[in-house]
Amino acid sequence: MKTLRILALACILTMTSGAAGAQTAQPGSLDAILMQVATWDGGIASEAVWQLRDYVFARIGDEAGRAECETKLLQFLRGPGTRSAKMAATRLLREIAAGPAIPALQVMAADPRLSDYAIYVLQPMTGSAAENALVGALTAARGAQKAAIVAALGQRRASSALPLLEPLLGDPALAAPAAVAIGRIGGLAASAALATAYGAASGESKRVLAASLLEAGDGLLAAKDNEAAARLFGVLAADRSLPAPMRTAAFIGDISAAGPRASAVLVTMLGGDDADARAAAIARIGDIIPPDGIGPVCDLLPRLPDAAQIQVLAAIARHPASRVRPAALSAAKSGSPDVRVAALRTLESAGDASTVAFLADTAGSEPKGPVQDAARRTLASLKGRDVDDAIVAMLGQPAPAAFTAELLRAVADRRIFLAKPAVSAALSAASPDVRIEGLKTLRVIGTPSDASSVLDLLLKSGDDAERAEAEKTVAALLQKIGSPDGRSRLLRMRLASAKDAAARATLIGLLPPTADGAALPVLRTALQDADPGVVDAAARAIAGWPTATARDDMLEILRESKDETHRLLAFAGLVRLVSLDANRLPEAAVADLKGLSGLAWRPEEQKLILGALAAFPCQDALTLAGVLLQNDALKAEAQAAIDKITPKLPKDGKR
Amino acid sequence: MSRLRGYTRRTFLTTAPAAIAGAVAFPSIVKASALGLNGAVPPSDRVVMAGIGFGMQGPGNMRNFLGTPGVQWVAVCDLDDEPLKKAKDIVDTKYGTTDCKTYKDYRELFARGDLDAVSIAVPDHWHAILSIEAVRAGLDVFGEKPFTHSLREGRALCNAVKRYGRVWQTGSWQRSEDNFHRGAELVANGRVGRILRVEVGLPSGFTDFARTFGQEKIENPPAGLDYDRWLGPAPYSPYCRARVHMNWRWNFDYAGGQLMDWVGHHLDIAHWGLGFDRTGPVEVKGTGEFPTSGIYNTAKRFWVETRYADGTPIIVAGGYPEIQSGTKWIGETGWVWVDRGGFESQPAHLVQEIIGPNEKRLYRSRDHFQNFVDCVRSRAVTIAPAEVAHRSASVGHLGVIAIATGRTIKWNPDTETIIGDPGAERLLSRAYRAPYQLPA
Repeated sequence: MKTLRILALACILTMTSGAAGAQTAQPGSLDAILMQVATWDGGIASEAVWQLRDYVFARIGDEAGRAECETKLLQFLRGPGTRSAKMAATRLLREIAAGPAIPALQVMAADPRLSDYAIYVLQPMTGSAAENALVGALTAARGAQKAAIVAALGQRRASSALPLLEPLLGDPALAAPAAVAIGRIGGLAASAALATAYGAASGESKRVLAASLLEAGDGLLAAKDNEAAARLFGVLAADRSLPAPMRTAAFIGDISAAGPRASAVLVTMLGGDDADARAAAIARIGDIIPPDGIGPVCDLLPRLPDAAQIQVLAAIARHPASRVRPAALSAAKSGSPDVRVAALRTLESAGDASTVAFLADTAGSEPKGPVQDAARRTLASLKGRDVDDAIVAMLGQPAPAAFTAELLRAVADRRIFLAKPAVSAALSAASPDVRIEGLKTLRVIGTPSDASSVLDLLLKSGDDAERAEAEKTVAALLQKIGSPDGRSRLLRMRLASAKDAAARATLIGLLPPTADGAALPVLRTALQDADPGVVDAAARAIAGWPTATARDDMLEILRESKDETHRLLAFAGLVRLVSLDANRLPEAAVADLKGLSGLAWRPEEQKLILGALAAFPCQDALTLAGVLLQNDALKAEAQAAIDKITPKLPKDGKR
Repeated sequence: MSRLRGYTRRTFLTTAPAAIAGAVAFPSIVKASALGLNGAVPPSDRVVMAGIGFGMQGPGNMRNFLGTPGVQWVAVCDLDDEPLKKAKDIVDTKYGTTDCKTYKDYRELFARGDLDAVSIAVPDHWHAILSIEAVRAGLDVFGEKPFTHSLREGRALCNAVKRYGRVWQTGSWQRSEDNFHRGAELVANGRVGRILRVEVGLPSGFTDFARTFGQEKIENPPAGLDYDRWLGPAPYSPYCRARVHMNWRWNFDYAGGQLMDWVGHHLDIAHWGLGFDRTGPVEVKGTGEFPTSGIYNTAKRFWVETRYADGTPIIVAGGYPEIQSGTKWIGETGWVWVDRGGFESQPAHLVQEIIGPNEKRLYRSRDHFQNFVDCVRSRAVTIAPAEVAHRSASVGHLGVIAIATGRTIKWNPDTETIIGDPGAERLLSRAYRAPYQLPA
């Protein structure tokens, strides 16, 4: 076996470098590298292939070196190397081959054993010499090689090959690749050849020819020969035996070929009863119909089927708003919800200040669903300062509550800060829906100075939904104060003057989101209040405090409170505080949790500890979970914690 | 072999009685485009879909479509039995039936005649051929990035999509994510002033997606895989496990490595913010580092510098820590950076800014898959249409060429030609292995 291999290598060397090379190949020389490459099986042992690549690439800028590589790579392809080795050489030859290689490549292109390699190099080479070589090889080639050369000539758009390709349309084995190539080459002669063949074709051949004719037609359009293109597309469009997508493509080409009459042709197709033509018209509205020519399309809209209306509405959205708007507004009143949605979407670009009332009315009167969503989205998206002005002006007018609520929503969506007086006024509207929408809007466009009026509303409202919105709005407005310091000032002032216990409890409940440490003394005082409602609110506020500043207060409640609920809330708050900083050392966090575990008085609290442990995987966490696993009431939770912690433990003892 | 090419529902029904029986088995499935385009059926009816290629992105894309209202998934197609069966199981489990049909030959799938759209997630070297066949069969296409395997294929596919009036969505799903949209919109509205430089950071090295690294022993292909067809138009290479599923991405015969894989994401986003969706650079240069053994040959580390007609430079790099992963637009007054899960700016408050209705708004899609389905119905342009995807991929193709030649590539983005470098020009296309051919 070893002898055979040596013999094979000697033979390869002889083939690649001549007889003398076998004795003179120097290590690192191209001959030596090629000898190694020759036996490559296409697998992992590809070092020689990479060596070859480096060798060749290092000589790309050096003509003598490039020529040496070119010559020897060509020799190599004719030698006995493996298929993978030859393809590796071909990939390089593709990048460096020049004129002198072309005659040899031409010969190889017609050789069944070498054709793949030669075509791979010749097909992308620029210049007429490479094209002539492929044309020359075409005559000599047979079977699959011939088909491959045909395809390569098509890729190159080799018009000189047409006389040789045309007869192949009559060859059953080569008709399809020839048709594709001829269509790609394009031009009048190519189109005529395809058209002749098309007239006599049927079945799959006809479809291949039709596709090629379509490509040729596009080529004629690119060459500005619209008349010839129109004739060609006309033939295909008139052929009702063609598959629908091809007829549609023919109509699309027909529209383009019509030149200045394209709009008129398109409108005729759109209004006609040929479904393929209508599909073509819809596909081309966006880029054929000029800005001032959309009128006839809009006029047709109501007469089209619903599905076509939807598609046309999408297509005309970018045309001049003034012409599209009436058509879209009319369609927005269609009996079909899908058409209404499409029309409302078109109004996003076609609508203006005059559309505001319609959109607000639609959004306010439609039930929850896609039509209402579309109306709201469009009202939020309409372009123009005058749209904002119109919304603000309408807010000052008496109107149904639903209508006003939609305007308020639009103010938020559009960030119309100038509307704030109207929004503030909405807080005292008779309708709770308007008041609630006003609160939501104020969260977006309001400033901390608006919090006072919202507090007024909150403290006097008896409606739970309204109170909830007001609380969110106060919190959001106070959050707009950049630093936590001072965020609670307004609330503390109100607390100081509030006599009513319920009001004080409400105000206390608003303090945690401020995270303002200045509020904590107020809460401590409130814990001593005579009113149990105030005490409850204060305990809950401390337990829910978002930062560790309240840690000691939570511990105090945990240790001293007689109220089981408050103690549990404080305990949960403390566990939450431990988990706040996910980046702290796990051992430190676990130590805190272990300390809390010692304060737990029921399994329920220990479960909170176990739930938090998994976020801090370390040996200490595992140990603590192991201890709690001994408690029968905690077995499931402890095991779950262990299961979560174990895979996350550092395997080498390091993090 | 090409006997079935170009079939549509109409011709199919008149020439394939055996297959009609199959169609009868789906009495409730009505091709929405066949009926909806003509207005007989409300467009809210189902969009009938199938998928081709389930070795990588295919299953994920299909799951997304299965969760999209109005989609009826009826068939799956793959050259390999194993992913094909898994794909069918996903569909059948979803619907609680056994109705999902399987195909190993996409031409038979296209010949069903009841499809509105197809999701294609195959290796890059098959993108153009399959996609052109699909649009020619009247199907709308959800295709993967990179758009095509060569720049010339890209233009051919764009032309075909336009010629047949089809809807195209590329899997550049970042466009449908809030942070990428907002970042691009901030830049489009000049929030960081004139853009001085854009940095696009991509992954580097090779990822062992299929866990087949090192399995480069040449062997016979498994019985369930039609390997010769898998190679398709690519040059012949013998089978080994590391060559095929998922890890084909690291071989230039089938793909373009990390650069081509990701250029359709982060560079695509860069283009979006800059308004370069339908153009390309005028100059490209680059360097790359390649493996020294094994069957993979795409760049493991790369640095591509591009310059656009207005002078804007975009750096596309993989494996350079100084270029942050994602897209970073650096302007005269600050910067905006976006990545998956990341969105930052300088000044910091920019990321909170809302672009109002009276400013420049970019196309908004909140769900990439829903956007495609909506556009199949409305015939509107998707958020990642063919031309946009082609222009994003073009930057990668030109980068690959610049790296391969070691020269600065002068590019005319209007005519899509390389100026004054015939050697580089030849790398714009690839020859196809017989009998494969880019369809008309």
